[in-house]
Amino acid sequence: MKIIFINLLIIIVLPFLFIGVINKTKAFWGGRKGASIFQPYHDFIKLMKKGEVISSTTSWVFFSAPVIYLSTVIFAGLLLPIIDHTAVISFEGSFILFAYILALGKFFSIIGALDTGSSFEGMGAAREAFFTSIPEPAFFIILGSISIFAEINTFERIFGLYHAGSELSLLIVVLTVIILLVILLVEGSRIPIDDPNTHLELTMIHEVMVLDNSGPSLALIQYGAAMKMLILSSLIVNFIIPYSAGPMIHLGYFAAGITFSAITIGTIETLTARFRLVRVPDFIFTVIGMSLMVMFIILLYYYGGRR
Amino acid sequence: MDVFFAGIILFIAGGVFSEIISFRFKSSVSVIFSVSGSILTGYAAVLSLSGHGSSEITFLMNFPFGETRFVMDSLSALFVLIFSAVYLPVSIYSGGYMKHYNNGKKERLHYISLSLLISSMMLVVTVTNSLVFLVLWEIMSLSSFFLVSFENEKEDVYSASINYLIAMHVGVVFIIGAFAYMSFASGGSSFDDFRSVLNSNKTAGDIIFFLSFIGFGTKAGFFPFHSWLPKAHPAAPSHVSAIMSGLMIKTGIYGILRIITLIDNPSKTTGFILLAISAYTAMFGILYAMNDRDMKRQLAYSSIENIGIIGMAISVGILGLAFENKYMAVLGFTGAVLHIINHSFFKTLLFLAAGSVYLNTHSRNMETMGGIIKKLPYTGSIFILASVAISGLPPLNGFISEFFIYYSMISGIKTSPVLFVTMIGGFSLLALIGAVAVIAFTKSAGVIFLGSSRRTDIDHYHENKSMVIPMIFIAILMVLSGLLPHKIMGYTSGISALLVKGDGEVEFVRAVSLAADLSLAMIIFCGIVLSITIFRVILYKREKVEYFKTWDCGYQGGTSRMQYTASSYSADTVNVTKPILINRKELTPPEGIFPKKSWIKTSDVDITDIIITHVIKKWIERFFDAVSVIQSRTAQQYVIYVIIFIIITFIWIIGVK
Repeated sequence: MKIIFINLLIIIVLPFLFIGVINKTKAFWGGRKGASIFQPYHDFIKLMKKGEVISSTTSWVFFSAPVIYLSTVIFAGLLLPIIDHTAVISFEGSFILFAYILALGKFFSIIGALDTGSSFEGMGAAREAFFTSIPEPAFFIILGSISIFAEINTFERIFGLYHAGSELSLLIVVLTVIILLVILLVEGSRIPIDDPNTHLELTMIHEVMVLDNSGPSLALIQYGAAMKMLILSSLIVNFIIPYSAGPMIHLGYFAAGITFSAITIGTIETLTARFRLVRVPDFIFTVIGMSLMVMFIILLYYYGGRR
Repeated sequence: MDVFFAGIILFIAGGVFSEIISFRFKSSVSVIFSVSGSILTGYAAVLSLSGHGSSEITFLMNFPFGETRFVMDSLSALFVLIFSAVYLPVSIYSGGYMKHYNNGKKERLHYISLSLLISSMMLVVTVTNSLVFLVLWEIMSLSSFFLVSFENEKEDVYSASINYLIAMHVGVVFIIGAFAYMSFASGGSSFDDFRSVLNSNKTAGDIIFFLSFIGFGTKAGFFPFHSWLPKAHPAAPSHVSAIMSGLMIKTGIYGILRIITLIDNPSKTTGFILLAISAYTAMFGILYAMNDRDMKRQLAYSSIENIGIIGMAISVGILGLAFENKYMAVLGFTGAVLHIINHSFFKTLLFLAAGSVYLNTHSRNMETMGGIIKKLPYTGSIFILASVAISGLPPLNGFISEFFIYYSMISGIKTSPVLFVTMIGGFSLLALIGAVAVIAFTKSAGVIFLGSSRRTDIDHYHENKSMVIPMIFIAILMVLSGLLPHKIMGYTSGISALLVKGDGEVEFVRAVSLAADLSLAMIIFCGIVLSITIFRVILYKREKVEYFKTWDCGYQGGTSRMQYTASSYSADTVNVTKPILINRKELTPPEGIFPKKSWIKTSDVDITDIIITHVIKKWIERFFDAVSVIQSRTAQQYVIYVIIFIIITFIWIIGVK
């Protein structure tokens, strides 16, 4: 029960800290002092206090899109096993629900963008819809394949892989982490896929979809986006952490892992430039290839003489 | 069963009465009879599903048919229940819809065909005599043909309905072939007699299965036989497309399931081939749906996709049986059954909403619409809700069935390496199909209903109550079946037992408890959405809100034509799906210093259409050219034919004796 509360706390409170650490890292590599790692919290509170401008073209869809987006991300967080590999809500096959609930958020943020009738936002929506649809099969291929090691197909049990311990399983871990990292960058709209700080509408993906959101509704979207980043990186971190470590040690591992992943993302963003838009799909498509490799390694590992 | 037949009689009586009485009351009479009829048939189905009431009736008929039994087992009862539950609101909707056509003579044919269609559909899923089955199947095809050709003065409607008629008759030939062989080999004409033929020889069983699969698959819309759907559905009036797409094509699925119940040990090959066909069907359907700009044709293609998904579920069930993995089989068939139920809800809803839009815009081209949700708030909201469901997203019912299909696949991966590869393949394809479905339906919801209007006559748009209330009714059914799947599964245990051949009780209980977990999760999610909505509304009430036009980078001359269109929205995805999706582009680019008129025309081409018109048609023509040699049009030659025939017959008789 205590663990569930810690998990809830992590999901609700930590997202902005995660973004703060990323920004701090970028500032460090850029030779700047940078804003405090708590700056995103201040921004959030500031936005919540503001009034907002709503486009007169819009309907209820535009108003409810940020609400549904945030709820889907929170719910996805509840499904995700965090501390001690325990999820708040857990049942067989919950990872399918995890992927689909995030897709629901995407659905509403897309139609929310289309609701403004702006060509920029339509463009962003089209790109977001296309780019995020590519890694979807890859996510299912790896989670489906890895689930062969689990006795029960709950999200938490699937993370028991590291236990197996051999050269092949190390390969599986490395490939899976790379795949999940790319999915994180795509879903979180980070460099090299998309630049969250860009100022030209024509080159944006995710940011252009929320051009017309302001005040509290923008705050909800930013909170949701930050939470999504945190959730996807805890997915990666938890994949690496040894299975049975005990809650307190696990918490330590988790804190270290999540900080490391924030620093990694910040470093990636400093080191790489964003791709030209036409090259982005090629980059994302590599994930499917890698996930098929994971699948065949697991096929060899499970059926190839080991048993 | 008596109740069921009383319902059928009411349907037919409604059709006949609306034939006699004056034009003014036609629609209301038809609606009253249809509603009461579907209440009775639905009640009969519920009785049968919960294990009460007589579930069998036998008629003794004359020579060709013999003893004819109508049996309501759980599989039939499920289909009857879906048909009644959906036909009830749709018939009310049809009353409102038909008011917009003031054509008494045609309407007469319309109502009687509608009543014949629904009664033949209900009888087809209950009859056990194969000959009567074929007769009813034919009545179903013919009456739906008359319904499709309602606006037959239009060129495209006419050709679409003829196309439909031909497709149905090509399909039925295969069913007749399969049934004729089985009744010849077994000596009986009821389905139970066929059991021995299907099980005695594995190869023969497989061939018969695929023969009947082609026949039933033509009705359902499996890949190479689907080409009638995207033509007939846009041509028909919207409530007819709703019935055909939501309900009638399910009779094809019923046929396939019925054959499976007769086979004791389905072979692995059957499962794998069916899986491949279904996966391709689903992929094909959703890609064309994503690309299409005609709102009703898009829905037709998405029906093909959903039939493919149901087919995938059925084939996973078959593979579960073949590899003796009971849990996988139970989950697969349960997923199929749930998807049949769910698809009939949301697809009907989408067609009804599209019909409501069509009555106002008189156009099916979504590029000319936009912003309609402000004038048709209920229709628009229901369309968006149903789009969420059809994209397979939680917390609505489409997700529940797709979840079961995913889960049935994942529970099979430990059984054998072959199954591991195919199931993970199917798993990822289903994910891809879901992702493309999101693109397809955000496109149609966004371009038709959201944004600003691309037309000038939007001020006159309105929705009427008699069409909105039936939609709300189906929407409630849809939401409930998403939130309480385990309650629905309480009724489907009999079907799972029929398909998994008797045992599998334990596995089914496991599946139900899974559904209960899922339902709890869905309810928690709804709670989260609700609480954040309340928080947001309170915030909204307190904050300072300003309404202004959409941000356009300071450019002041924006028009609604500058919005992203359906084709531009899907262009990126269309570009990477070349091998499956064939796009024809005609382009005259602007040239020279003073460019003259330039234009572009894009259209998607269905590959089966090309094959049928360019290859198969040519073969047929060549064949008949060759055969026509024997036709000389001179009487003497025909007399010689007769004499040759008589001589051969004589020799044959003497030789046999």
